[in-house]
Amino acid sequence: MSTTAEFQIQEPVVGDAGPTTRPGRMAPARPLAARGVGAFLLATFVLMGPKLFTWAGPPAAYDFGLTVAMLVVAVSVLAWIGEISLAVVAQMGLGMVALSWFQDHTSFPLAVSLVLVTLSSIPTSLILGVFCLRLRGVNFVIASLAFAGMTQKAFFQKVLGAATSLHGRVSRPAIVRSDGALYYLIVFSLIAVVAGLYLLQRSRVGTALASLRDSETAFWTLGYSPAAYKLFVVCLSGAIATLAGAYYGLLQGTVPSFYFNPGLAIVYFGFAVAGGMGSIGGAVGGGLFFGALPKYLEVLWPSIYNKFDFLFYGLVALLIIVWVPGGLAGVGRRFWHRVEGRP
Amino acid sequence: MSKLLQVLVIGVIAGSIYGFIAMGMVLVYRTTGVLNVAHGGIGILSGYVAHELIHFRHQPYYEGVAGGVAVACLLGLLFELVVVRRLPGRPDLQTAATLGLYTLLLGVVVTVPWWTTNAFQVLPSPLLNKTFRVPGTPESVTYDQVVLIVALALFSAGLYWMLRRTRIGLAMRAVSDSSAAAGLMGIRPETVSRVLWIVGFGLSGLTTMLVAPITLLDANALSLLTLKALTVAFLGGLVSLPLTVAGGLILGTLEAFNDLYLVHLPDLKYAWPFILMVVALLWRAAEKRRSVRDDAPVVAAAA
Repeated sequence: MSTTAEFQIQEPVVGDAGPTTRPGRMAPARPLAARGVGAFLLATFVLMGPKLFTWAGPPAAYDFGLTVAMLVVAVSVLAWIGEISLAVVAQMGLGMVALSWFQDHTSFPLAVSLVLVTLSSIPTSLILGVFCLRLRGVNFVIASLAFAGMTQKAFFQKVLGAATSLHGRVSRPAIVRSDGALYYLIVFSLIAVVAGLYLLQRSRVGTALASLRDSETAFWTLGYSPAAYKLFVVCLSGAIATLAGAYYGLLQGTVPSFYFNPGLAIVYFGFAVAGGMGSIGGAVGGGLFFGALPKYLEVLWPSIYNKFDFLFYGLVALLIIVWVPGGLAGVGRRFWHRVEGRP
Repeated sequence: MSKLLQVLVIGVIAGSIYGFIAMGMVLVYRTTGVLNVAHGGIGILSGYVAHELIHFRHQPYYEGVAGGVAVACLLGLLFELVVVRRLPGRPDLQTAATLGLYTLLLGVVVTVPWWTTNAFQVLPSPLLNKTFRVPGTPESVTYDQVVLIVALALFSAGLYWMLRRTRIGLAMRAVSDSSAAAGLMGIRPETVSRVLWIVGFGLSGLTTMLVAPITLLDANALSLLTLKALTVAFLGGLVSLPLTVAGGLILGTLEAFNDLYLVHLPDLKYAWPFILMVVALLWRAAEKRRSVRDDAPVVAAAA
């Protein structure tokens, strides 16, 4: 066994158009019908959103789940280069702080502020990226953890305050005043992010990233720059985490500094593994499930659930890792293949 | 001069805590390739079990401690049987499983209502509050801190010796290098793996028994210490026990130096783990360049 454990990441599905379709031939009826029904159900689910679950809790619970899903996507994106970062929660916090700063010091519209917040993640990501170039596997995990610890203690505690003296507020513009309106903003951003990542995975860059993860030496020998690609992925992951932080700020208004503690990144990493590392769909599903479900349970059984949230997270994550190593993405893929009638 | 001595005293005590926690993680990583992130969580649970036995059930102190460590060992056995056996040859997934276990154990601690109601719980060791003054400094040192420092020296030397000289230590290293080859040499990889996880988890429980009388029996505080210990483990390259202990002592001393000398920069204290990592990286890069330079004539001759 190697003395340095590399995180082996589940292969993202690159160029998987399905074995049932060949060029020049019509797709068989069953997969086509399954895709049609699937697309309809997905569209209904997206458009209805939290309205489907009003019996279980407020729309904010669902919005929270979407924000967590976006953060878990950020964790999962780094898996494309075979790395794990536990600094995503710190980057999320920076997103919230940056949005608060833009609201206090500028009069930009929300859309412009969100773009600038996303871009503001680049310097932080580059610092992490330098470590990513030098370190691999658990060594990079520890480096990202040290960075997150420093940011939380030295920066967030000062800027956001502790639980007793909160400052650093994000106010909601009129356009997203209600939780329902905020839902549509977050969900369409998430769709844009997922669609962008999906296209990226299928582009030349995505193929290059898959080969980089398989063999960095071969990648370098073929004339590509591993450093450039790695930095790109670290910046991409940081941008998504920062955007998630901005939405989290819009959702919560004020967030105490302890929320951005590095220990929470460990929990989110557990969500990413349970969703299926490297799979964008799995990350969204895992994030939404683990992010929203506890919030609903808090409303349905407040006296019981508030005590058992970590027990729930840990038990479910452990069961999925041990019994379904491919995560929710693996389960979903198998289910979908069965629906389409694939072997 | 007395202030400098004070820095050293505080630094060695804090560094011993980091070093002791990191040592358990390095032992498991070196022999299995798994980063046991649950190390802190196991210690927290066994600490609360010991506290339950001593404080609430009025058992003698040493029986309570033995009970806490036994729970940690039992958890190690269960983890090996339920998780490690099911994910053979997948240190990445085993590491992820320790993350799940960490969250689960924190959840278990919160579930028992009387464990976490008081934020200032102390594991009542027989040496609690017994102190002596270090000559030349205003600093008082508790006997619990002395026990921790002595235990760190003994355990680090003992583990170093065990891995190099004893049959079980050599078997652990053999299995970590190649399980199949170790099996051909008559070693039972399953037994070695079981012993290793029991020892690793037991060490985590023991760490809390030694650390909790000094800090507090608080899940958040102990988790934070574990995060710092991870940095210390990194300084030792995750494989070297002596370097890990040295890294712990250096970090503790730097933090104490910050507290006493750099009072106008209090936040810098939190950056030291990160700064030490950068220094370690630069040092390793320089070492690598030096080794490449040393190898250059050989490569040229071979070409």
